Amino acid sequence: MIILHDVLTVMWKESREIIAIYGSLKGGIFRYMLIIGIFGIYIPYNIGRGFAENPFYLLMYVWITMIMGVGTVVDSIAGERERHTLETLLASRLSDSTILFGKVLSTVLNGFGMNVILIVLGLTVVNVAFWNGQITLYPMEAFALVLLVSLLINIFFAALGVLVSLRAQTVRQGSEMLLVALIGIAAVPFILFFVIPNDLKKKVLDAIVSTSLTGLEVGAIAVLTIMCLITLYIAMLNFRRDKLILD
Amino acid sequence: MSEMAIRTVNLTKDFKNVRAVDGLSIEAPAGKVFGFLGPNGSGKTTTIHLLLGLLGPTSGSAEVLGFDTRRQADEIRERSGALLEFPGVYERLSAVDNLEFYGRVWKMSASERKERTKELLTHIGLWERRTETVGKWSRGMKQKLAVARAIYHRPSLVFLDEPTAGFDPVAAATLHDDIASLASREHVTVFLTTHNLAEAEKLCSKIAVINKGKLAAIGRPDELRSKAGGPRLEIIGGGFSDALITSLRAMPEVAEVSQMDGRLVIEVRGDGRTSHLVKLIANSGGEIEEVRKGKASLEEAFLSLVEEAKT
Repeated sequence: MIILHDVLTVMWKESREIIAIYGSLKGGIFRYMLIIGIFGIYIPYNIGRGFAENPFYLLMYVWITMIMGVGTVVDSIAGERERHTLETLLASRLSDSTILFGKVLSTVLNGFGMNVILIVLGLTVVNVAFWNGQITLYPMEAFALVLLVSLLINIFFAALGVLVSLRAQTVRQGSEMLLVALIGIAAVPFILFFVIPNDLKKKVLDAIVSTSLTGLEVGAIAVLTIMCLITLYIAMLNFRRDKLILD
Repeated sequence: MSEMAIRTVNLTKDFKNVRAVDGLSIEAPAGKVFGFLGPNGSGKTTTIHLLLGLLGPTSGSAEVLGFDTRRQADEIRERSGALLEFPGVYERLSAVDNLEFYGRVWKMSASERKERTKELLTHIGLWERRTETVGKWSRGMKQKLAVARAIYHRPSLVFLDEPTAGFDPVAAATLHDDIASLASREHVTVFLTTHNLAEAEKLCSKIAVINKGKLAAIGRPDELRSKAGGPRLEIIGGGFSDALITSLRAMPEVAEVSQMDGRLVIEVRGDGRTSHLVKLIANSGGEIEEVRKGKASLEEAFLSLVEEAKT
């Protein structure tokens, strides 16, 4: 119970800091309302029923909200160090893990939560504005997959952001390091494509082609889950007071 | 709890090739203000980090509030408050939210937090500005809020690192009273680091001076002043001839004589009797307007200890 209380306490503070990231709470709330207005109302209204029928838009929203959320973890750790608040936080009774999970969950909630709000609001707008006598829903499998992918991607990038932030003295440095890490991750498939011998490459491609869509989806989810767990575990090992004070 | 709130034995901390704290052995009594002085880079902040269990010692040990800093750091932090090198306030949040957060951290109830927030912000004169974003405040105001945060949860031990930095003289005087009251009325131990030696002299019952990580001296302020030398005689007036100064310097009980701006300062060794020196000056044609007798100030004691360590 105490651990939960402590994590929620950190999340309480982080959520306020995330909202007020560019200044005041009021300005932050206005920014969120603007994002919700553009992506939750304006774009779905202009696209029409196609917004709900084409899973492409769901995937696009995963990407948009991930971009929005990923910077907050860097601000949350490297930013606290830069603003000299981290040392005071570490001198409190909170344990290393509650501080870490409070920060990670706030970031995840910011990205994933916004994704859920936007796609639910978008669906509502489409149904209200283009009502044809029956409720239009997202394709169920795509909807569930997108939610799961959004959650896992946000967790992975939050944990990656923690690792990067541990080595950054400023938010700017952390953001640059995160960008390099993202480029590195994006380059992995291309590097593998050139490194893997042709016969092995052919076998892999044949296996992918012969696998059902559901099988590919399950495989992608499994890979993402493993990436999340490994990154979180490394973040936990490194998020320690003595390291944070010294770095 | 033992009578000593803090006890370190040969506490040592190395960072790669640098020894930041070197065999530090100190005892800070519970319910008193303990001064921890030293020049910049002398190891004060590292010592506080070690005492809070934020860093582990390379060797030696430390016990804070009866808990070992290596094994029971959580217990220490549970019972401590800290204002470290920087105010550490969340500048995007309001004063109320800053205190509210740390109140939640220390598991205070909602009603307790509400009451304590109003009490402290009113006391430091910031209640009217409680909903403003702290980032817009002056350094002194942030520092006041940081001090309030450090004592918000009524800890048994408070670490205050340069608490009056950025304060105006009135605010500093108020804080001095608050610190004294914390120790005397609420029996809180205050571990105070400061460069303001008058502040240390006024507030601390015991002072440790460290230099280059090593303990240079420890004791009551008057004991430290005594270490800087015996009594001092200050004669204000004129007619202090070179012959008089030479004859004073020749006396075995006189350690040093200096003259400037119509003042003759004589450092005295031994039991501190000086009436014969005044008589000598008067008989030698010195025009005496005023005679002051006292000990070296804590600042002089501090400087002499730091100089001593250099040589």
